[in-house]
Amino acid sequence: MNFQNYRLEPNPNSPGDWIVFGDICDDAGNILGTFGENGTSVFGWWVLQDAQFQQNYSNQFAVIMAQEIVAGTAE
Amino acid sequence: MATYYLSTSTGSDTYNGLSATYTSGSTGPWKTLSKALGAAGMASGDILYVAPGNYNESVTIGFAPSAATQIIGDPNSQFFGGVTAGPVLISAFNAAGTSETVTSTLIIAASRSYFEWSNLYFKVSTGRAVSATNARYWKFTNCVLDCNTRASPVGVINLSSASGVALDATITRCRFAGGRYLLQLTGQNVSETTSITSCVFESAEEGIDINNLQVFVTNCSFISCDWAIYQRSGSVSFPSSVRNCLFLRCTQVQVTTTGQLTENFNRWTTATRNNIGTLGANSTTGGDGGIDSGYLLQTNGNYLQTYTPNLSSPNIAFGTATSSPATDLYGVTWSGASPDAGGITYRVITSLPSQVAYNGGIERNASTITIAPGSTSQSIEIYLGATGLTASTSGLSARYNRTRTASVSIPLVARTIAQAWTAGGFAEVDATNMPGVYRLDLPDAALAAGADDVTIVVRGASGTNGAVMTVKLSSGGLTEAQTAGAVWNAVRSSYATAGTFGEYVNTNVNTGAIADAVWDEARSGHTTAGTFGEYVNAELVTPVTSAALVRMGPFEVRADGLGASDPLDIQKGAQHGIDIQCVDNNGAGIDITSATVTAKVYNSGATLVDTYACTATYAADGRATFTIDTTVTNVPGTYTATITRSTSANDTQVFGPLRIYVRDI
Repeated sequence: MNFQNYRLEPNPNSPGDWIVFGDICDDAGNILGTFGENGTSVFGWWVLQDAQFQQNYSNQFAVIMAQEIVAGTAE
Repeated sequence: MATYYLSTSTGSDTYNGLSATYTSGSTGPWKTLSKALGAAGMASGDILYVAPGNYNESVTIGFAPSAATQIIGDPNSQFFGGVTAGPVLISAFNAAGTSETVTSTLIIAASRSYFEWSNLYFKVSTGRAVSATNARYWKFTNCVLDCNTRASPVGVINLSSASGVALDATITRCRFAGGRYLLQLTGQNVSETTSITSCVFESAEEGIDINNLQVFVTNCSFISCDWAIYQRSGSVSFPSSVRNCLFLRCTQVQVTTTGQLTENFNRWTTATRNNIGTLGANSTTGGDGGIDSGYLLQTNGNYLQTYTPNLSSPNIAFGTATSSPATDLYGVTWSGASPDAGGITYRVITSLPSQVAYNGGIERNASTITIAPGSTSQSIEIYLGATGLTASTSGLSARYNRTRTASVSIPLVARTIAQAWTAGGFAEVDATNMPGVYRLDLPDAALAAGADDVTIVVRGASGTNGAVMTVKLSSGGLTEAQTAGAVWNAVRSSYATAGTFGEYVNTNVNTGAIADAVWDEARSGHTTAGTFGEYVNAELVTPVTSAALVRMGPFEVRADGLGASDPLDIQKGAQHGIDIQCVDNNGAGIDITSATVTAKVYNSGATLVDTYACTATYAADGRATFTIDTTVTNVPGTYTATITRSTSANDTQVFGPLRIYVRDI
C-alpha cells in the first residue's frame, strides 16, 4: 500500500487528536481511496470501530504507553 | 602514524599502549578506552587494536583527527597473547551482563571527524552507543549495534554534521538490533556521499532516521521495524536513494515530502510507503519474505547464515549491480548473477570463516597440520582472504623455517589448481566458492626428516596480512596406505618382544610355526566327529593298523615259475598279511622248517620294490605268512612277488611269481 500526499496535522478542534491527510494508492500510483479533503480524525475514526478492534490495538498501545511511563520520555 | 593496543584484561593505563603484551618497563597495552581515546592517548592517523573483553565505559573523545583514525577490534585475539578470543564489547552492561552500569552514551564526540570503527560489538539499553556532533567522515565496518529495548535510545548511533558541511559517513556490513531509532543521521541538505551498505536493521521503532541528509541505502535488510526508514526534513535537490533492499515485517517507510527519497529494486512485501510516490519499475510488493530464520538449522538441513535467503527465495538476484556492493554483510559474494534484495545472501556454512577485517586486510590465526617427515610433493591450502592473488602478485612472498633454523625462501611458481605439484607452486583454489583460499606446493626440503616442525608464511600482498601455517613433522601424519605399508613391510623378526603382537605373530602365525603346529600335533587329540582329524584317524590310520586282521590266502606259490596261483587285489595304501604255501609241481607242500623264507616284490618294471621276511605258520607243509606294507601299496600298479626258500647257500628255491594288483578301489 502506498500513500501519496500523506501528512498528519493536529486537530485544532480536539487537542490530542490528529488528522490524517492523503491518498491511498496502489503500486502504480493509482488512487484507491483517500482520507478526504479535510482529512480523517484519528479519534473520530477510532470510536467508529468495533469493540474487538479497539481492544486489540489498545493492548498493543498499552505496551508503548508503559515504555513511555517508565522512560519518562516521548519523541 | 602509530599503532596502539588496548586490553581490558591484561593492560594498564600506566603503560604506553605500544605493545599488545607487556614486555618490560612501561611497554604494554592500555587498559581503558578512556585512556586510548582521551587527550593523552592515541592521535590523528593512529591505529588502535582492541583486545577481546568488555569495555564498560562512557568515553568523551579528547582529540580531533584530521586523517583516518582507526579503532579496530581483534576478536580473534591475534595480537594479544594470553587473551582468549571473544567479542570486543563496548558495553553499557557489566561483564556478567546482569546490570546496566552505564546509562549515558558510550562514545561521545563533538567536532571529531575521521573516526573509523570496525569489528566492535556495542551493547546499550538506555544510552546511545555513539553520538558524534559536528562530525564528518565517520565509518563503521563490520560492527554490531545491539540494544535490549525498543523504547530507547533515540539513535543507537547518532551522527550529525556541522552547519553547511556534508556528513559523508560510511556504514558498511553492520547489524543493528533493538532501540528506538537505530541509526539517526542529520545533515545539512548538501550533496553527500553518506552510504549505508549491506546492513541489517531489525526490531526497532525506526531503522534509519534521516534529517536534512542525502543518504544512499543499498542492499540492506529491514526486519520488524515500525518505520524502516523515516526521511524527515530534507531537500528534493539532494534526494536519498534506496536500492536492493528488503523490507520484512515492517509497518512502513515514511517520507515527509514526495521526491526526498527515490527507490528501485526493492522488495517491500507488506510495508506501506508514505509519500514515496510510484514504485520504481523493478520494485515489488507482497510475496514471501524469503529468508530463513533457522528452519533449516532446526531440521538439520543446512547450516546457513542468519537471515539467509531460502534457496528459491525471490530475494536472490533481485537487485541491480549498478552502484551496489559485490558482497553481503558477511563479505560473501552474492549467490546469484546480481545482488540480492537485502543485506545477506544465501550461503551454507560448514566452517564459517572469520569476517574480521584488519585495516583492510584479513589475517588468519596460525594453524597446524601434520605431515609425515620425509614426505615429498606435498601441497597445503592456506587462507589469505583476498582473491585474485597469483605467484607474480606484487609483494607476495613465501618462506619456511624448520625448528631452530633460519628461514628459507619459497620462490612462487604460477600454477592452476589442477596442475601437478612443483616446488613453490601457487594456485587460487576457487575464487567464487572458496574465496581467499590458495594452494601452496611445499619444497621437499621443508618436510625432510630431522626437524620437529616447519612453519610456512605467505605474506606481503595488498589486501591480505598473510597466512601462517605450522606443519608438524610426525608419522602421525601417515596416509592410510603409508600406515599399511609401514606395518606389513616391516621385518617380522625385528618385532618379537615378549608380550607384543609381534611376538605372537612370530610364534604362532609365521609359515614354519603353522606347519609345525599342524604336523607335530598329536593325532589322538583331534578326533572330533566331522573334522578332518576324525577322517585321518578313521580312514587313513585305523585301516592300516587293523590291516593285520585281514587275511588272504592261502595262495599256492609254485616253484615252477608259472604263476599258476590267482592274483591278489590289494587296496592302495593298505597293509595286508598274506598267507602263502610253497608247493612242488604236484601241489605238495615243501618243508620250510629251518629255512629262511623271504618274499620279494617287483613292480611292473621288474625293479625290486621291497623284501619281506616270511614267518612259518606250518613249516612242514610249506605254509608261511608275510605282511605287505605301504612301501608297495602306496603306488597303485601291477606287482609280482616271488618267495625264496633258502636253507644254505647251496639250497635255494624260488617259488612264484605271485601276481599282485594294487588299486585305488
